[in-house]
Amino acid sequence: MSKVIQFLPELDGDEQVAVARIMTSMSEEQAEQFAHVYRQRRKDESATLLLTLLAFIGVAGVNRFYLGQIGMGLAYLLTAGFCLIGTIIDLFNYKSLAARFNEQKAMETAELIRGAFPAPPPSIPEKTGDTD
Amino acid sequence: MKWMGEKTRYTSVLEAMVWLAGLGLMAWSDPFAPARFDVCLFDALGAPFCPGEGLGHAIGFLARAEWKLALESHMAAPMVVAVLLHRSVSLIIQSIRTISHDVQGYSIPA
Repeated sequence: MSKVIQFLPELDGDEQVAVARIMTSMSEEQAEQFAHVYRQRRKDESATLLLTLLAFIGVAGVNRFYLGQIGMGLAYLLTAGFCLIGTIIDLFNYKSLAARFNEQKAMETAELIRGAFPAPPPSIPEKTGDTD
Repeated sequence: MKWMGEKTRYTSVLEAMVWLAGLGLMAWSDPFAPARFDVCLFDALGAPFCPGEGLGHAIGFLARAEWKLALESHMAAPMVVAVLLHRSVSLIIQSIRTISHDVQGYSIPA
C-alpha cells in the first residue's frame, strides 16, 4: 500500500486497493514509471459521469467514446442512448465502467513496465563482521 | 493475463445481462401488433423527436428475418444488435476468463 500512497496519492477506494496489489511486487523504479504511465492512461470517474449527462441535451454515448468503446458510442449516438434507457443504465453504472477501464489499463501498464524496466536481480547481502 | 476485481466482474455480468434481456424482450415483442405502450423516455419527457424511435420494432423485425421492414423501422438496428451482442459476449468471456485466474507476479487474495 505504501507505494501507491507514495506515487499515486490521488487514487482512493477500490482503485487504490487494486493498484496497490499490482504495485506490491514492483521495485521503486518500476513503481515510479508505472505511476507516471498509469496516470496518463486512467480515466476519471467524474468525467465519465459528466459525459454521460450530455445525453440529456441530445448527445448520447460520449462517455462510451471516452472509455474507448467506439461501437457502443456510435450505437448510443444513433439511438439517443437507446431512447435514454441506456443513458440511465450508465448513470447507475458509471463507476464500474470507469473502474473496469482503469483496471484493464493498470494491468496493461504493469506488463509494459515489467517488460521495459526489468527488476534488478536480488542483491546478495554482503558479509559483515570482523575479518581480522 | 487479465485480472479484474470481484466487484467489476459482477457488474460486467450484470451489464451483459441487461443488454441481452433488452435485446431478448425487443426480439420477443411482436412488431406487427399495434403499439400498446411506448418505452421511449424522450417521448415521455415531451421531446418532439427521438433518434431511437422504431428501434424496438426494428429488432422485432430482425428476429423474424424481415430485413426490409427492420431497416425501414430503424436504419441502425443491425449495427446496434451486432454491437450489443459483441459487447455482451465479450463482457461474459472476460469475466469467465478472470475467475480464479492468478496472474503471475501479482498477489491476489482468494
